[in-house]
Amino acid sequence: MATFDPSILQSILNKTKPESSENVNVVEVPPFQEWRFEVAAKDKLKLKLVDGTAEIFGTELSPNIEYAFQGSVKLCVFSFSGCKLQFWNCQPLSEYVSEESCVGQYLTLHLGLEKQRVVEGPRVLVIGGKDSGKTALCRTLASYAEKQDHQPMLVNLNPRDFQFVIPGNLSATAISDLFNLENVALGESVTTGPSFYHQKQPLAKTFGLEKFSDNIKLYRYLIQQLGKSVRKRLDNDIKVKKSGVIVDTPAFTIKEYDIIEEIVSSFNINVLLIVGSERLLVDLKKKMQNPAVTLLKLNKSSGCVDKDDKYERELQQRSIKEYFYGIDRLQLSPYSITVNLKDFIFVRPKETENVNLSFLSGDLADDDEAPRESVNYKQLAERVKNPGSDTLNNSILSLVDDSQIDTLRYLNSEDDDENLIKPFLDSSSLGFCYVQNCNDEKGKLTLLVPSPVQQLPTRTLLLTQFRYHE
Amino acid sequence: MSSVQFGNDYYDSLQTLTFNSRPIIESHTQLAQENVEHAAEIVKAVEKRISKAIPTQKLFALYLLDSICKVVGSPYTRLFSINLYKTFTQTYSLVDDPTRVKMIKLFKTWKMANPVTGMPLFNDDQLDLIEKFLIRATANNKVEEPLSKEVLIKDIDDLKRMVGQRLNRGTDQKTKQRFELLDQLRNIISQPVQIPVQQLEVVRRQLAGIREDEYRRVQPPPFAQPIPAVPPGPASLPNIPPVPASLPKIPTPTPAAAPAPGPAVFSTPELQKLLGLNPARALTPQPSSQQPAPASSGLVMLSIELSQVLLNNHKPTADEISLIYSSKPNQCSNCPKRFANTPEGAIARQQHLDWHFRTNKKLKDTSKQLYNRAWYLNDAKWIEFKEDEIVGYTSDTMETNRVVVKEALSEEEVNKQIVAIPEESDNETVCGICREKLVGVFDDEMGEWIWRNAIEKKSRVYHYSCWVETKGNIRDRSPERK
Ligand SMILES: [Zn+2]
Ligand SMILES: [Zn+2]
Repeated sequence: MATFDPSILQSILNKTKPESSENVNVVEVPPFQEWRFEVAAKDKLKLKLVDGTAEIFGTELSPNIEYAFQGSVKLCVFSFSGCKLQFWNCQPLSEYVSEESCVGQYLTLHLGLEKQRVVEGPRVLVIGGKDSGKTALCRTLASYAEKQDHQPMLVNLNPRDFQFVIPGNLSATAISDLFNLENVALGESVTTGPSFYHQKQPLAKTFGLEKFSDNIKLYRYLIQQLGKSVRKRLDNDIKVKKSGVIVDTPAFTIKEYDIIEEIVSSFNINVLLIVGSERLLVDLKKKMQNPAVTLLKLNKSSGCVDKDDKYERELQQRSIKEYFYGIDRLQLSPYSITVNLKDFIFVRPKETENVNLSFLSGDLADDDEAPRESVNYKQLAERVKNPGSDTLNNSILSLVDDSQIDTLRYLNSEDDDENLIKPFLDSSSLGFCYVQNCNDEKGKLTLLVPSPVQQLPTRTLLLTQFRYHE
Repeated sequence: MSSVQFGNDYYDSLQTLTFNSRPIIESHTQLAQENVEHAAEIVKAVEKRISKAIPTQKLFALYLLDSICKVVGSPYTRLFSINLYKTFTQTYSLVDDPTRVKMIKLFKTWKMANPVTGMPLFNDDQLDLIEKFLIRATANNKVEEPLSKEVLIKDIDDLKRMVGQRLNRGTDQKTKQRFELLDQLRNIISQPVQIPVQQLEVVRRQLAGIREDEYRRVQPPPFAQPIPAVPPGPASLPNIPPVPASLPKIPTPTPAAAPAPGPAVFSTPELQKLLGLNPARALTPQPSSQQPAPASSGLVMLSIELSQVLLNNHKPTADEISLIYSSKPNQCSNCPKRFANTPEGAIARQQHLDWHFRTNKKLKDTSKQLYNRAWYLNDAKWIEFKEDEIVGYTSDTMETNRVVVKEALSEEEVNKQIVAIPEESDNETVCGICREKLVGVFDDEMGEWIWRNAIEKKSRVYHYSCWVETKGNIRDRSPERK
């Protein structure tokens, strides 16, 4: 006698699903809720939107794309309308649907900001504790603005993080197309090849250290430099100016008030968003005298996972790998090049114990004409004497533009003075290379470079604290 | 600069506001935003401009007031509230009827409550006073006339004038058609025949619908975009002709009495309809449910005033969500990008699809072609960079240039480049550029072992293709280099 066999039905169902041989899971996300999942380091989770609309940090999912999320990632799929998702290929480390979500609040915020996009758009600074969801908020705001045909300038001031660049940099990137969800650095900076989304053109100032507190003077100096270039760009570009600026930051506390003020003046901030911390909001309200700045508090997302150091390091290594090699769907070919050590000038950021910082806070915030005597460049960065394998092996070097530097003079001397350090720190990075090998006897350096060149585009290199292991 | 000095300069600069200029209004709004410390003087300057400008130019200064309050908000809303009744009513009494209609429309946007705070833009007392004033002013205009052919003809003439103005600004076929229909209607009604009151009533209602639509088309003030959702009613007039067609025709016309031109162009019911009130309930605030949230993005955004209260309590409405989803209903089939259902949206979508087509073709070829990360721009170039160089669909020259260079190397050509493997060498070596293996093959014709697609330079071996690619690419690969 024939009876109903659910397993036969299941197998038929499976065959009609994206990958027949796989075990496909279905998640239903009710309206205004989100599905949170975490993928283990070696796994790759595939995901498809089957019904409704959904977004990840403001970037909409296409029902026609099978997304592949390479571990380690922790993401939330949010849905305004309610949606149905399929996932397969691996079992996530954890996954659940959360009734709580901040995204509704983010949209309200976006609509309020949207109103300001008339001539000069809002300049938004996001601050909050570690893992409070600052980056998710910034991504969401930038995505919504992009969806409404704007091109906001997304600025990252967290040297441990990376947006279209690798860690150790402060960056600014106009967002003129969608983010790529499969890319840990939010998407591709410009390559010579085709891509699924229009590539982005970041400006990168290399800080080279992991924590902003490793050299606060240098950190603040670079914030001013980046702010200066961003302001000039906005003056040249009415579309970006109208769209505004969104600034992401490391975890500041009220102790870093001076830095916050520095950012406010460097980027002409008019909306200061405090994520999660009521206390920080109260403290800031006391200190912030600038009437042009509106302070607003946003909820901390309950989905914000504490990123442990190991997880953070994995992501950093991946971002470096993606810089050179691209992602699965679009692989890039870096090149190896051997150069003479003596043909290059190496500079590294100084690592400081917490020295007295007060004296830097004064004149620096002024514009170009202001006297610069107050900056002691010796405290910011130094020339690497006798660079060799012990210092260089496996390190990431930033290729700092040398067009403002008298390279001949410094190549022929060991000089380490302001005329080298200042223009060096005022210049942006053209890209990065990785030291594969340093041969001390022959004075040769073998570098992995992103582009096929017989000669590097600069003679000044910044030695970062970051190491890469292939 | 002192506040007084600033205020004087601001007032002087307002002399340029002699027409409805969006840039002037925007720049003065921006000035007000950036100089909140001079708010009191700015408010004085704007009020002075409204009062001193000639009647035909007052409205534009009023639009500036509106813009500053809606864009910047406090303290301007508070400061303008103080004299708002005076400012508004004095202006109203000096301007012509079309301007009055625009003022009433503007006033309506002020009354719209913020969805969260429930607060209108200005102080309630002032708004109530203005509302009372408007009800009196519009009621004084005229007592309701009994429905007659004359009334209808006047109505038609008035509508013809409005439509005619739109025609003068250059507009579409439908507008022309509407004008002609009104003309025909007028001809029919002005014939000396008896028309039953019920028929007149039908015509009147139809005209009211047209009028409503014409009001909507009156150019909205720059920032207050209270464009109501398009009602289910027809925008053009497909069902007008049947009404007059049913009228009996009399072959011997006698001259029709010319309609008396009346100064009051807008009748009481119309103005009050515009106000969204009826006189009896004039002072009871409307429940918010009577304010349908239209899908027009302008209006939705208008109601969002950034504040902590709003952030804490507001849940986005369906209309607000639609701004980032269904307002652009056409989603790309390749990616999540959305496009509006407008001619511009259609063009953008087509260009976007063309871009996909080109890149997808190249993506398929990635196995044959090596791609790599370009260098970033230095500050000077980045400052000059425009996103159009990336997303601009027309200036795609950089991509085409690259392809031209690369496709110049055919497989045949590449394989003709060979290096004989030296006696002492292994069969395999590594390309000095891409670090991939070169494996030797035995060439029958030459009778020796060779590497194909290879070149030897300074006793190192490279792929010929790698060598060609690196040559001439010494320095800059940033996309803005042509
Ligand atoms: Zn697309
Ligand atoms: Zn090669």
